[in-house]
Amino acid sequence: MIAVNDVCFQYNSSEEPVLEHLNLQVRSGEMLTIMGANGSGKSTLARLFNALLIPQSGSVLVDGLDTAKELEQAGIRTKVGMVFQNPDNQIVAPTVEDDVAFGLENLGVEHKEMRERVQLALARMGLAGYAEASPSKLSGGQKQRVAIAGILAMNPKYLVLDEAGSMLDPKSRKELLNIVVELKHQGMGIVMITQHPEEALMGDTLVILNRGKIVHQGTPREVLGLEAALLNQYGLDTTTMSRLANSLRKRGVELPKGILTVEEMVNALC
Amino acid sequence: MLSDLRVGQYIHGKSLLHQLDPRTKLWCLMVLSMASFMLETWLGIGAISLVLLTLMKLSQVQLKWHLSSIKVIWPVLVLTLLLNAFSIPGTTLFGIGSLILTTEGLKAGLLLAVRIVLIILITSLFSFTTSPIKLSGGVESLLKPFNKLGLPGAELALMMSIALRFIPTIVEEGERLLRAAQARGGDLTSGNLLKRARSLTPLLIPLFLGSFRRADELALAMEARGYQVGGRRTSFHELKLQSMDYWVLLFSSISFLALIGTRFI
Amino acid sequence: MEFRDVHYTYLQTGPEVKVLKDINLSIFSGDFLSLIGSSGAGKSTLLLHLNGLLKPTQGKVLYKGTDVHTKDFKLKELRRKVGMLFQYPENNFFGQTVYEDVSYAPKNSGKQGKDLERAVGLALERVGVPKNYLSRSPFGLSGGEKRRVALAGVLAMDPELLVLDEPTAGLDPTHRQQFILLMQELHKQGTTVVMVSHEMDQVSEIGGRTVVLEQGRIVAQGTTRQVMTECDLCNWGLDLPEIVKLGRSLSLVYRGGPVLTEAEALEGILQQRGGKGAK
Repeated sequence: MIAVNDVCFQYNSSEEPVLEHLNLQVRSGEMLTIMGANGSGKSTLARLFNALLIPQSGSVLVDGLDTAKELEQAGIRTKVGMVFQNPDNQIVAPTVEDDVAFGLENLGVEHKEMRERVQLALARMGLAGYAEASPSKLSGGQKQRVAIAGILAMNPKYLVLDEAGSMLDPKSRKELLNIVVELKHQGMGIVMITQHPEEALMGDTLVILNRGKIVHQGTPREVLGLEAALLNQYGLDTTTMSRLANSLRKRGVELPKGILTVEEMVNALC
Repeated sequence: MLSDLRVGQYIHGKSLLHQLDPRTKLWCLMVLSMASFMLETWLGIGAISLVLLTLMKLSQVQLKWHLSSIKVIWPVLVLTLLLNAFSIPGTTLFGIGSLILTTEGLKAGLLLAVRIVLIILITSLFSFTTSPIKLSGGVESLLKPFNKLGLPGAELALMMSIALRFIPTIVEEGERLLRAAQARGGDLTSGNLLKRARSLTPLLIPLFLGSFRRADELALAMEARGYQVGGRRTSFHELKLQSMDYWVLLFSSISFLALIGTRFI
Repeated sequence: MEFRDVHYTYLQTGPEVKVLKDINLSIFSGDFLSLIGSSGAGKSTLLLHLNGLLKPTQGKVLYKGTDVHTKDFKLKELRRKVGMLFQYPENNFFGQTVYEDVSYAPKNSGKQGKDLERAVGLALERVGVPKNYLSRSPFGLSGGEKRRVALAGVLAMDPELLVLDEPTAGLDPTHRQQFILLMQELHKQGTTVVMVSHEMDQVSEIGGRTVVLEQGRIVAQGTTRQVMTECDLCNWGLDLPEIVKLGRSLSLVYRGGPVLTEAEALEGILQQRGGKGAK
């Protein structure tokens, strides 16, 4: 379990805090989704999970390891993999297989084992045919898969995605989402930061972050079922169907709570 | 445009030259380049050209790629030839005012131009047949002995590999910026060199800022994947010299020694 | 603006790639044209033909009846009339202050002094960026502000045709909504708009005309209502807008036709329920 306990964070002691008194848990086989507008502090939060940033007060514990302890950081980074927003800026090596191997090289894994783990990770992400390809020739969606393969090779327990789908087209974004859901079913703990309500829908818990504070926390159905106007205040949006359901209710149509998808709307109206 | 540039590009293949160890090829690159500058007779130049042509044939890389790398330096060659031809004193071939073309100058210019062509061909042959990643692996392994002296061989090799990874990305970015400027009426292709340089300056701001941001994000991504400066790392590519490498090393070294020998005798 | 049998082949190290095939397309003054298609379908390549940044390998691009790649045609003039906002335009700021960037284009077309200042001021006003931003660095602004300043940099040329490549990508939902309203406002003021978008819901809310591109060919074009409600977008790897899906499942009707926008769906549902209630 990753436990975020009463965490506060600020970049410079003079500036105002970016995160204030956050409490969160991420369990294996569960997905936590975090929504927040640009500047809400969500990327900062993402970086706390694997010790890229250390909170000023409070603690982040990964399976009991404290991110603030320097000796435990290497272990934490093997356990918690991270996928960033821009597919281009997280691939280090000039070929796909070399990039997937990068994390293993850092761990000092022996040559033969490394080859095997790289091959396996590439196969899992459907990239077996691209081992020697140059990343610059790949599509955005493929690049993100390379990034995930590089993380999977390290056998992590948790995966943090910081708006990993936001620069992809809808089709690749959906593919990425399917991969993440599959990993979750295989027992990985997932933190997904997103601005797309359809993605937030996939989580077990949805948290809304606004100016460094958690303003709503609950099942996606509870949170996305909120009034659109309320979510708009946080710079966010709900699904089209939830918006439509709210408009219908205002016009006197009685509808059950928490309608989020077309299917649910059709069922409610028939 | 920018992406037409072929120098420094790897062309995938399975030829004998592709299979050689990068360290062997680095050595050959050095020997051949030095030889092209040491040989002063046309016979010698002819001999080394023959060797090079054979190697080019062996590489199975299409001739047009070899030629394209010369195309880029065409102006340099003409300039070299002219500068030499007109500046070296000797027998006058013909003169225009104070400009005098000499036979000696022409010969020297021609020799230098041919040498430049040779060096370019040798270097591009090397890069066509050596994948960047193998090259950086080779450099890393060659620098290993210096690690004890405090020279960061592994870091240098990693830097090289990152640079190679980002060259296509940065070229793409440059092209995108050019387009964006042109779309907003930027005139980047006409006028003299100074004017063109000046019209390119506004593009440097986004180019640099973009690169800084990229570097920042990359550093973060590397750290997230457990990279530590000076940490003990293993390598995905294990370099091992094959028997073919030993033969090539032996042959090239003997030839090189022989060449040095002839200079002293 | 007109495309006649345009083909475009991209030459690379490898085999040549035919990016555009048989493109026949007319853009009329006052259009709001959305260009949709899965990634790699050739949308961005098509856009680059609109201001002559790319030259068709075959076929012609005509502006008011003249081929834009003939000698007498001044491409620079065309580029002044066709404003193009690229993807993630905040990566292409050409100045250290908002003023410097927004004045880039009008300066290039020879504007000076008061004229230049007026052009910059007007452009910023049209996108709703306050005057006191002029001396600020564009890089320090928020995501939504950056995008609007970038748009001002294009509007400063006072273009007839505005070309936008995924103008709302990377913005958060509220800014996305604001930006769409801004585009619609500009369209109302008389600017012709051509937009590439991946967001089907966005396209259906905007309306206008839609062109579907698939593997370099135009596979469908018509009013957005026709394309969205009558074509099977799924065949081309695209999603239907949520509202259209709902409309199909419930056979929603608004003013005798299938529903396209959220507002229409709302009325459609109310009508349908009203009918049921009366029975």
